[in-house]
Amino acid sequence: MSLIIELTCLSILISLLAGFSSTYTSISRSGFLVVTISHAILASLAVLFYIAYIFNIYVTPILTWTIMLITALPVCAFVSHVRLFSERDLILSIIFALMLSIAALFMAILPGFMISRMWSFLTGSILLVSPMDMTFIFIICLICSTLYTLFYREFLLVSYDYEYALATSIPAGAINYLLSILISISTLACVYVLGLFVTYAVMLIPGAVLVNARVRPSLSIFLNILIIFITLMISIMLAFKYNIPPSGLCGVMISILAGLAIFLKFLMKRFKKTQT
Amino acid sequence: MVIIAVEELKVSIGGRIVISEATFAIREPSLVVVIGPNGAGKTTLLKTLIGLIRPVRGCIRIFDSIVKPGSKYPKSVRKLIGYMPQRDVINYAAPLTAREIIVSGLIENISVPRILLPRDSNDMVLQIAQRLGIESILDKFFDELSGGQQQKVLLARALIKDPKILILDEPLSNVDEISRVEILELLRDLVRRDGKTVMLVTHDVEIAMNWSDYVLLVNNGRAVLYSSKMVEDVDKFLRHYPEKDRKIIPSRSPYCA
Ligand SMILES: Nc1ncnc2c1ncn2[C@@H]1O[C@H](COP(=O)(O)OP(=O)(O)O)[C@@H](O)[C@H]1O
Ligand SMILES: [Mg+2]
Repeated sequence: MSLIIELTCLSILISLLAGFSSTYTSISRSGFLVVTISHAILASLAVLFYIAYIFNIYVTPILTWTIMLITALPVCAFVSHVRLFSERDLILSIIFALMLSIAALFMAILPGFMISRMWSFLTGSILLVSPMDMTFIFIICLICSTLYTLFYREFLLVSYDYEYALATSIPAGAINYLLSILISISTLACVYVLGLFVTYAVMLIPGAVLVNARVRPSLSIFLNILIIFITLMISIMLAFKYNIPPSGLCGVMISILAGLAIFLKFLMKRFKKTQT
Repeated sequence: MVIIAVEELKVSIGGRIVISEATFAIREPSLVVVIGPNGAGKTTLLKTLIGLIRPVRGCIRIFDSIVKPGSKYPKSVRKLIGYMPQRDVINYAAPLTAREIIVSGLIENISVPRILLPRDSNDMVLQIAQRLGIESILDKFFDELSGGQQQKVLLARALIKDPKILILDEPLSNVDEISRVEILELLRDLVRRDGKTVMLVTHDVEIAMNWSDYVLLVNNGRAVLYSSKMVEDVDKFLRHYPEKDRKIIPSRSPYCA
């Protein structure tokens, strides 16, 4: 019973993080940032595990979270200084390719028992989250949700018209940096719990679909949190019943929902056209 | 009084000098039209005036604040200026309505945390929208509007904070003839009645000559201010600028001392 409560709490935390981030990511066109940050984490964890194996160190959760944060923040700092979207995406794609290669390199030389731990970062380990991890995720969720709420107007402004924002007396540069940091930290938590593969489904799809359907940002955040929470809970229940990995299920469900939404929109457009 | 003054200003982008020498002063509320060929550096000059680009040399003075190459652009000055960027820098991915965009012009007037809008913000939006004739499109999404309507929305956003100076980058492009006149009448009103100073970029020479108090000609790395009254024959003016006798050379008062 307590496991169910624990998983529900975890789902609430993750859906809050992913729900906020999903909307902001799509409005600020930071999808590439999410992809790059998550691969950068993968690379640094692979290196961390290799070093731990060589020197026979036990990798504690604190060490893992610290390394993940240390990897993510410089990428944000670097990237938020680049104003042109095309330039920013070019830099990100280079970092992304480099990090993926580093990850591949180190995962190839890791011994088998450590590979399985790396593998859990790819496929997710929602059922294996320790109380220590839970505490970290709770703190991250508290900080990110609060800041996402408090800076709602600033984040929107720097996302849709950065140049105008810079010309006002608000600290637009710092706010832009803060937004990248929040998106990256949320990505960390999602990768840790849901795995790399599913993080994209959760962090990118719902926000993109809702923004594309012209749902207002505040409503979109609310709907995202709700959709992610419901799919996560259904996945966890199905996972218990049929013994299948929950995060994969969650990703599949969100993608199908998104597909349906887009198809519905397409049908409505056709319907409107035939009426006029 | 000095509203905007620039002295021996030099601006470069990516190592390339765009403005090599600009010296001018606007001393009373006026409508200043900035003209010049594509890529001459009009946008660069405006961005330097509002602190988005740092000058390499020279100085800028806005009222009593002085900005030099090393110094930080003062926040108090930013509050006095309403800026309208060129329309193509806007990220259309954000599903925002015209109303939300206009309201975001108030962001500096809201105390931190800026979640709650002032109670009269709705009235303020409506009032501005009526002056620009866009009250019927307030709840449409920005990307659904026509080019001219979008320009009016961005102008409304710059206006809503009631700035002393308006800096408008191509506010009239994509705007139909009737709306152009409406906007120009509004801007002239703002100068004559409210004592604001408006600086706008346009490619339309007729507008420059008929509506402006001053013309700021940007070309070949130079920016030169002319009084519009002194220009009788537009074609001749454009062919022969810069003519020394028409140029307003600021008496060498030390603006930036
Ligand atoms: N971000 C940039 N990087 C490099 N060069 C630029 C950049 N922005 C503008 N320029 C160059 O500076 C010059 C002036 O540009 P701009 O001020 O936009 O011209 P205008 O607004 O008069 O058409 C142009 O030659 C342009 O190529
Ligand atoms: Mg320009």
